[in-house]
Amino acid sequence: MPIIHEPQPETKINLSENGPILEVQNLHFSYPDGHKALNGITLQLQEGHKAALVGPNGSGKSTLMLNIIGILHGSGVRKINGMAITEDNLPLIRSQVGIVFQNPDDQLFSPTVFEDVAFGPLHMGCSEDETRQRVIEALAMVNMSEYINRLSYHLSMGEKKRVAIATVLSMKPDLIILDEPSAGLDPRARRSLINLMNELPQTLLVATHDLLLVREILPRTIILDEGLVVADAATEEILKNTHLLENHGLELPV
Amino acid sequence: MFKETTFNVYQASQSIIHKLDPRVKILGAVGIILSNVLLPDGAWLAFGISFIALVIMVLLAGIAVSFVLKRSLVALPFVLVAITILFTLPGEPLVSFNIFSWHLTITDAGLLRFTSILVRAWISVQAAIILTATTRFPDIGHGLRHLKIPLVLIAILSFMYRYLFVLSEEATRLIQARAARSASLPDSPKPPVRWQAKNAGNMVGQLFLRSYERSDRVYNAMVARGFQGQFLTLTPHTMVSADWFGLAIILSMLSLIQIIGHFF
Repeated sequence: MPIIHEPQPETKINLSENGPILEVQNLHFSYPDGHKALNGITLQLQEGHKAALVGPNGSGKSTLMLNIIGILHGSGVRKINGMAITEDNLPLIRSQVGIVFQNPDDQLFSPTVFEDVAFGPLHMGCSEDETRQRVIEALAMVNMSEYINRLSYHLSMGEKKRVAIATVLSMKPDLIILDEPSAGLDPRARRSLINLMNELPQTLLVATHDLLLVREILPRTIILDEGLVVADAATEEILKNTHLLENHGLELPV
Repeated sequence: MFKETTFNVYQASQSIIHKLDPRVKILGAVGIILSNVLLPDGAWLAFGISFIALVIMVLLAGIAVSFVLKRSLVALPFVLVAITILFTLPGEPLVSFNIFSWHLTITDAGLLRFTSILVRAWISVQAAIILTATTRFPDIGHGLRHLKIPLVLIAILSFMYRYLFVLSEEATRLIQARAARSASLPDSPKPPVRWQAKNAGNMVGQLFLRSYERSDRVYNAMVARGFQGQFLTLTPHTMVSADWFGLAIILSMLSLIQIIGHFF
């Protein structure tokens, strides 16, 4: 008794022949309690860019990410592939931007690995066969193929993180946002995650405190502090500027 | 303090019971519970046959009988709710005694009804234990879905199962953190019960707040992957002839038990 999903027409229109994948202009956001989290963020990501989003806790990194994915709605311009984010095109936006949240226990909410990785494609309207295909491909990309029928709870932290990335890869997004991917990992799991991220062909925006990871795989760094972009340049230059780093509560381990 | 086995009773195996389609097992378990409820009080032969049928299932599944029996004791506290029946049903008095200022009399009708309820509950719980011990939880979810149970209910069940583990880990961490700070000097008095109760209350509150915040984050993760209020899942089960055969056996067994219970 398979459940049949109506095939949906291919709606993915790539408007970004040359334009940026992500464009944010003068984005302001305040939480309902009045706390101002974003005070006019402006940034652009071109296709293929791999950028780090760094800054102290409370600098607005998470709020910015939730705005980009259209879960929070601040005032200002937010465009994905040239499309402004509106209520109507949210489903389309979400098929183009994948976000991997910090805690894999939040990201992996289904009983089995298969169901979790299938969640995105199914809700995008992929057919059953295509969903299965995408799940197999995504798990292969993160080297977790043999875990397909395992229960999410039984995985180690590093395995959970890899599956969490697969849940987004199966949606084949253009832009992947990762929140603290290396937090809570032991050195070996961190190393394999870095290698995995380095192989991803998508445009990446990585919020992290792990500046060694940034130096290794992310050529561009954006520093956020008090809801503002205070620096946006090549990683090499930013990491050389110890004064800048110290001013914004950052520190490059020696 | 919480072990994984606290919630996870599934015992991996390749027995014929494990291989049955989850639909058959769910229908079988619900069927035997229904049959139990429909049996008249004191139908001991029918209850006995139900019990033997379950023991055969346990043996076929290769689970230890002692495991099922031990687990089935969880039914007892709930049955105690029915203890008043012993004294309230009119009938021939058997024993009388005084507790405090009450004069209580156990009647034969009351005793019959009470023991029947006890046996019904006990057998029903065993059916549920066999179901969960031989079926992985995700498969139970799929089975329910095939049986056309509303998706929202199944989703609630799956979330509960998924986050029970996370929540119990969180509770364990809170308890350990408290234990680590609950020092006392050799001659210091024990903390008053009131203080301990307040502490436990705070912990429950903490757990609630954490779960509440987590639910927000989980919902964000769902929405970010295209969730729009409709649950979609793939359900990879198909009934094969062995499954139909198993279902037929279970149903005829239940009919037989009903006939014996009502007419013998």
